[in-house]
Amino acid sequence: MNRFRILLQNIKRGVVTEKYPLEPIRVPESFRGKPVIDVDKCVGCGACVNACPPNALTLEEDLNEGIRYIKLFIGRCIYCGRCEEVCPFDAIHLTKEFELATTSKDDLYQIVGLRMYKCPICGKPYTTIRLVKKVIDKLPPEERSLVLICPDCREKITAANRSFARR
Amino acid sequence: MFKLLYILINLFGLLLLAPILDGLERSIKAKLQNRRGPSLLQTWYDLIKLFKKNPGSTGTPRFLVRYSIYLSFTTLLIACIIMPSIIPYSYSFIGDIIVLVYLLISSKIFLILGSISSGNPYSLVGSSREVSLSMLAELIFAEIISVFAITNNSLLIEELFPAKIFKPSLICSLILLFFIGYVESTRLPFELGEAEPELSGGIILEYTGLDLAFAYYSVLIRRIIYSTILINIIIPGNVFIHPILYLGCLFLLTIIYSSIEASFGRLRIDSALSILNKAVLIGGGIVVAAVLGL
Amino acid sequence: MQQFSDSKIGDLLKKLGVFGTTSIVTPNTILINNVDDKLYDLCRLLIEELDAYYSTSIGVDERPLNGSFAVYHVFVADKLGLYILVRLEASPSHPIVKSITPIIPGADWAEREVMDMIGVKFAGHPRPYRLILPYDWPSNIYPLRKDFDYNDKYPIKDKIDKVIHGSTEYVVDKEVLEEEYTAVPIGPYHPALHEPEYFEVYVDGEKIVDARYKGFFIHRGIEKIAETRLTYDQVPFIAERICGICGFTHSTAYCLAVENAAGINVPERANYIRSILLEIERIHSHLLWMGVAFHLLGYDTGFMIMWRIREKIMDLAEELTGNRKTYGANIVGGIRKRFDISEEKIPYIKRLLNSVKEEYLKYIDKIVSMTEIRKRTREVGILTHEDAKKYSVLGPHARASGINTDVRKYRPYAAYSEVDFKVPVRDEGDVYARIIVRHEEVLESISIISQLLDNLPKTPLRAEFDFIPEKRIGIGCTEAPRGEDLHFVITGYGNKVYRWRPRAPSYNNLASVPLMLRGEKLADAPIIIASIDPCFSCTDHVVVIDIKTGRRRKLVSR
Repeated sequence: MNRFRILLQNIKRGVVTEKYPLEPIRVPESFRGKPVIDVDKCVGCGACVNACPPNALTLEEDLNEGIRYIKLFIGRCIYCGRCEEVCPFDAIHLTKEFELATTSKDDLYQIVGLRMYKCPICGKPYTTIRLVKKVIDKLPPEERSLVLICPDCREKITAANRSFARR
Repeated sequence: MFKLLYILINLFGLLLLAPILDGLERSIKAKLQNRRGPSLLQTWYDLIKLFKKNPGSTGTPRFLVRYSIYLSFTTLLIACIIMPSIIPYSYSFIGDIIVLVYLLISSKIFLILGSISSGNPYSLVGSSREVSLSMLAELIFAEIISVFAITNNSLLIEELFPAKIFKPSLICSLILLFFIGYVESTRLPFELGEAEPELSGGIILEYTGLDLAFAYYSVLIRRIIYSTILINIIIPGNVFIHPILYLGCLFLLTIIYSSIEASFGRLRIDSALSILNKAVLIGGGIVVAAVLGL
Repeated sequence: MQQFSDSKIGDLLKKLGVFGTTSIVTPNTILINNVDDKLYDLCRLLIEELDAYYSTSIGVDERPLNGSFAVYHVFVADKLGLYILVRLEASPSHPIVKSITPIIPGADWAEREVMDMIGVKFAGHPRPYRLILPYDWPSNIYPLRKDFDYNDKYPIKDKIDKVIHGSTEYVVDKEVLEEEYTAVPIGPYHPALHEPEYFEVYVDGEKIVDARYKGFFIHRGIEKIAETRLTYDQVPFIAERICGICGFTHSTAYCLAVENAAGINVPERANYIRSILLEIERIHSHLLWMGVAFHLLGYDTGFMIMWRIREKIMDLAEELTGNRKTYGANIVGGIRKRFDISEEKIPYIKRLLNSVKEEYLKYIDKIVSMTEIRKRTREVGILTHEDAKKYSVLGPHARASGINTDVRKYRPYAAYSEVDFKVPVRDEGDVYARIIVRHEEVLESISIISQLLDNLPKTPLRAEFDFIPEKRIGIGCTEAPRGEDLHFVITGYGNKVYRWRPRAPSYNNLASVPLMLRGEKLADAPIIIASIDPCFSCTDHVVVIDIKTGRRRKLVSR
């Protein structure tokens, strides 16, 4: 007789399935959906690229044009949220979007192009203009000049200074 | 003239109804499990999809595997013709009640023959289970039919359906028919030939495409035949009210069967056989009671 | 090593003369080197005198570190809370060590895996056949060696001049059995199985006479990826994807292993949150298993009921972590900031757990008392207490056969030492006992979560540490829903792990399947296989075993 009591309990409970996708479905606040890069805030530092476990975020540089690209490919994203956690400028956030199926692969790419800053001595681009601006603001004035030169030239100048000091 | 029309209405009506009843059964079972379930026409959509595919079966000899399914299906169609269903008229001749029993048995035999020929170990296990079950179930069915014949003193379906004399033994045999109609048609807890989690398809494992469509369709027609026998014995035979009563009772029976199916797990073959053994003895007792005039 | 000098283990080591070459690598792990010919005596004494059990073996390519290959055998002394590593060294020119399989049959498969992946041969191994790699993998290419790049594809034309097929080494062991009985293949695809594995079951009518097993269809090369491409903080994410049900356990065990190796103390709040999430995972895994068991018994309504109740737990997981299954909460040193449990969520969690418990109790007694469920689970698939000890089975499978073992109780990790809970043990050893053990564990888990929520301390979520020291060994052990899950880590250079080896619990439990299958009916085969709750994703990643082990061999008992 127990088996029929189970059926009665079920009938009392009613239907529990929801009519998704014919009706929208609610997701909780802490849901980890598609990450979106805020192009106004991104400076191209690459912290997210370092942290991303599946390498969905990649960094590419076009040295001829002097542009650094931060590329996010949703196809590899595991929605872990490490990029959001490590970004120092609050430029990438996980939204609550999860309906990402598409027939065109281009929909899955988010590309931010940032103009790069050229070294005044050798002319090689080595960082982005936005990043330089942000860093300059935080440094004391006497150290700012060193940041404005690329690492290779900086090494040569520092070595030259040191050999002066020893003499 | 009208008679031919009646028979055709019966035949095509049953063919049309069988998948719809299965859709209703799936829907009821789903609602009892807190979900919505498919639409009533879902089984039709499944069958149509399968009809569009190429037939394919393996085994040696291959023709035996394929054609046995078609033979099984055709014997059931003949059973539809000689049995009144929607309209209380059928092609009748003396002894047709016995032919009905044989048609149902041979349909099962053809099915088992086909699955044994396929050579798949799962089909072999499924067929051996099906043979054990069917031997007992068909015996009980024969006992039930003999009670009909004995209590109503006739071997003509025309005179038996609906029954004129309702003795206690007839009523007991109707209860047994309610049970056998359930057992013989691939429903839990007796769904042993085709147990999917255990045998991944069992008897109908090796069929695909068109052949699988007919394998499913035969199962559905079997179900409706047993239900029809049970209902038509009881309800009166007026041409106008019979169809409505028949359809109503059919839906009711389907709802009852599907509720029962939702509340049982699958039995193992030894338990199933012991239950059927007891039923054989009960059937035998009812036959004796009928002979004695009870 | 001084503190062990007077203890039982110190005496044992001195007796064998290896006390001098033993070192303590972490407070609960000792490493015994230079064992040479005393290997068999050492293993025997560890098992008999310390009541330790053999856990697994790990092969490491240590040529960049010290120029040789190494094989670590892990023994667990449960009652002392100690891990004992026995290290064997093999030179690159002559990579052969002595096999311990003749005295410990459980080492059979771990050693075969080392042979496949690192290329160290074990002298004296009775059946040195391929285990993990496919039949046609060339014989002289070993994937886990450091000179094999993870991007190398087969065939590697410039490294070999001809393919030496491994197929002659792999034997499917067809004996007389096959001619007399029908072989029913269960797998690699079968509706009763959730992952691809292959059981070849020999039947006589409906009765099962014997069973064989082959697995490893879903080996994914996770260890290689973690060693070459991922940093310490990225590995928990791939560890979580080892298994589709118990992912968080694997990532916790990995983090525990690294924290153990580096001596990092995880703050209290992180431990509590880890325990809460682990228990949520345990509840959902057991409810899932019960639904699957009822489905295999044919009772689909029970399946739907259990999974409907489980949905609430999945909603809870989604509310707390943002995803139903891959929580992504673990990081080396603690929990990520996003996964904190705020004060306002606690009443919601308690309400939800109460409603789950109420609903669950409303149904489970009625379902389990149904005749066909009882008939098909009582006295079916029995594993006796002695056999369970011989095969070293783990988790609920062992607890249903009378062995009282639980990592949470006897080697507590995370916050389990702060809570009070019962370890359910039954001694019938049949499928019904396993259902009841898991049922009681669900109720215990709900009580554990309530206790943890009441006392959630206010500390930071992640430990502060500068760097993770190199070349350290660490072992992390958790109680997964299926048993003891052990992760072995050697920390490496460049913020990467040098060697990582997860050993899932289903590895041990699978050994007992053929024993349980013999003599039963074919209809019961799916439910018996499913009753050990096999997680082939976890197992195939690590090792697979042949179920013929122990059939005619003398086993060293626990």
